[in-house]
This record gives sequence, C-alpha cells and structure tokens, in this order.
Amino acid sequence: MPPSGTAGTGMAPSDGDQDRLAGISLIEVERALAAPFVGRPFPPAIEALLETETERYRTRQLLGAGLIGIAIYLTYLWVDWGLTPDVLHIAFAVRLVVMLPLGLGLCLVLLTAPPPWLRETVAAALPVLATLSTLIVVLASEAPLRTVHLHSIVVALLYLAVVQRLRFYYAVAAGLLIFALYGVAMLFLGDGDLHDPAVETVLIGLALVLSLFATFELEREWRRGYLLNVTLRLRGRSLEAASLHDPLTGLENRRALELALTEIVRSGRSESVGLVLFDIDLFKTYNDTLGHQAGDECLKCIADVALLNARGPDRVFRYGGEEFLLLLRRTGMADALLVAERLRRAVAASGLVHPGREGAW
Amino acid sequence: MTASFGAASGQLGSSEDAADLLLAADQALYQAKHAGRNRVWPSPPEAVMRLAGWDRHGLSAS
Repeated sequence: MPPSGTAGTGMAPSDGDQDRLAGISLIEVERALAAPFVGRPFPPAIEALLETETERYRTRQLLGAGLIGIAIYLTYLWVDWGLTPDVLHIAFAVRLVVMLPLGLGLCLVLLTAPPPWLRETVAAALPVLATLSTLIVVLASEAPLRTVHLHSIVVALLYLAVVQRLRFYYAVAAGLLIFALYGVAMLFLGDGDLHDPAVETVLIGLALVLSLFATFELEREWRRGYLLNVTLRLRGRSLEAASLHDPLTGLENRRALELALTEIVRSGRSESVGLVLFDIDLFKTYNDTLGHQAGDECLKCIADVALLNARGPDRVFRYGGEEFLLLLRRTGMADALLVAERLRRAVAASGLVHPGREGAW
Repeated sequence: MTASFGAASGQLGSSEDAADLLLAADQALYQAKHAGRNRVWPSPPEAVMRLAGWDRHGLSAS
C-alpha cells in the first residue's frame, strides 16, 4: 500500500477513487436516484462504476450463497429418504453423481471473475438445477408421500431471493423456469397423486410472486444505497476541492500549499524545492483608486499570467491577499530565480496599468 | 502593473524546514520591496545556510 495522506482515516478516498469517479457528475447520479427503478436504470457510466466497485463483493456473496445452497441441497437426500425411499438409488445418482459436481463446477466458474451476465446466470442456474433434480426424483418414485417433496420448490424460490438476492431479471427468469418445470411435472403426475392440484399450483405461484417481489425490492434498495453512497463521495470531493482552491482566481489556496509541503516532507525525498513568493506592487493603491472589482480583475489577471509562465510541474498558489506563491519541485536557487525573473517580466508586460504608479510613495 | 519576487530554495527534511523555506522566501520578498519593487530577490544567505543544514553541523549553537 503506498503511503498516502489518508492513512489511518479508515476511509479510502485514494487516487483510484478519484479516477473512478472522474467521469461521473453529481447531476447524473441524482437524476438516476430520482428515476424509477426498471431493472437496469443507470446511465452506462454509473452502471459501469457500480459493477467495478461491487463485482468482487458480489462474486464472493454468490460463492458463499452457492456453498450454502449445496449444503441445503445435500439435506434433500434426507428428505428423499423420508418421502421417496423407493428411488433412493436414483436420488443418489441424480444428486451426488450428476448435480453435485455440476453445482461445484458452477461455483468454480464464479472463482474465475466472470463477466456480470455469466456470474448472475451461473448463480440463477443453481436453484433451477436443484428443482429439476427433485422433480426427477419425484417423477421416478411411486411412494405415497412423493408429492409432498414438491414443496421443496418453495425452498428454491426462497433461496434465490433471500440467500442469493438474484438481480430482478435473473430472478424472474429462474423463477419462471422453476415454475415451468413444476408445471411439466404436474402433467406427468397422475390425477390421484395430489389432493388438489389447483390449490398446490396457486400456493407455489404465490411463493414465486413473493420471492420475485423480494428480489425487486432488494435490488432497488441496493441500487438506491449505492447511488446515495456515490452522491456522498461526489459531494465530499467537491467540498474538498472547494476547500483547497481560491474561488476568485481558481488557484490553489494556502491550505493546499500546506498539504503540498507536508506531502513533500513526508515523501522523504531529498530534492531541492524552490519557493517563489511574489506580491503585486502597490496593490492597495490600485484597489483604492480603481475599486475592489478592478482589484479582483487584477488578481485574476496576475493568476493567469503566473499559470501561463509556470513550467509544467510548477504549482501556483494564492498565498494571501495579493501574494502568490510558486512551488517548484526539483529546483535549485538559480532556476528559481530564472522562473521568477521570467514571471516578473511577464507581469510587467501584461498591459495592466497602475494609475498610482508614479504618484504613490 | 508590476510585482516583486522573493525566491528561496532548499531541501525539506522536516516541517520546520518547510516553515523556514517559506520564511526565507518571505524575507527575500521583503528585500525586493525595499530595494525598490519590480524585482527578483534571492533569500538572504543566512536562511540559505540554515536550509543547507549548517545548524546541524555545529556552525550555529542552536
């Protein structure tokens, strides 16, 4: 970790943060906050930022959810033993030989930092596969209680909403697929198997609707929270920028100078640093004669001249009222004097006329 | 319109050095003003010597 001025604050407004937020405007974020949530509502830049900043967490979250899912899935074997004991060998084959390696393989995909669509698809596939394997066991069985096993579909729907927190559209796809699989199983089950197929279907359908409602709400809250976070960071950045700049000339202010000097001291590099402090001659007279507005214009003009005549890495600060300062890195006295002399000539040639120049003092 | 300039240069080993360098530039600016304005003035030699670390080599008691 590089040494930085923010060490120990716990926050991380690092250079990386600056770069990432660079293309994002507060107005854009606030507009996204006000817009209704429809699946993928953010402008591309914000969506890309969201993905960049959350993908590692999201992948870890889905990986954890995957392992929890596999644990839940293995307890189904015990349910198989209770409800469909006649096809335990099929249950073992489907769950342990086919689905378990498949599920673990999908979790391995998550370890490869996949693109968002693949990551969410892989995650959404897990509850679908779990449902599919349960339906295969149920359909293969002749045991009287086998249809009770259909209730494990509710577990899959709960899992994708609460544990995985699938993105809404992926949840819709997975949920509808699960429901369709259930429908197909119903076609294969005989009439006498369920007490009341319609009631069963409505209950499963309600579970589906509620889990989709949950994923919708969870995604909306998560996105809202993220936008508020970005808003705060952007506000903090603009406040920080304002606190380091002089509003009149746009130059960095004295506080920025102190930070810059502290930074140089802290870097521990033994380099020669040049400081050129300069002051507009007889500025008070200028101000008194021409008024403060003209004085402000003069300050702005001098600031521009200083910026134009500074070398690339030089920094110009407004040090005080009519005092400015050049911070020259890796500069000895001789070069500092050269820079100062060039600027002196430029100021004298700037065309600003001092009305009291001859008369005063 | 003219301006007066004070220049100083040195190494910044500590925050005191930074304050010294600022002070040196300020003293030079003061000299430039007193010498008639619209000129560049280097920081006084004692400030340069202090920034060059002469204190630490025993050339000055403090």
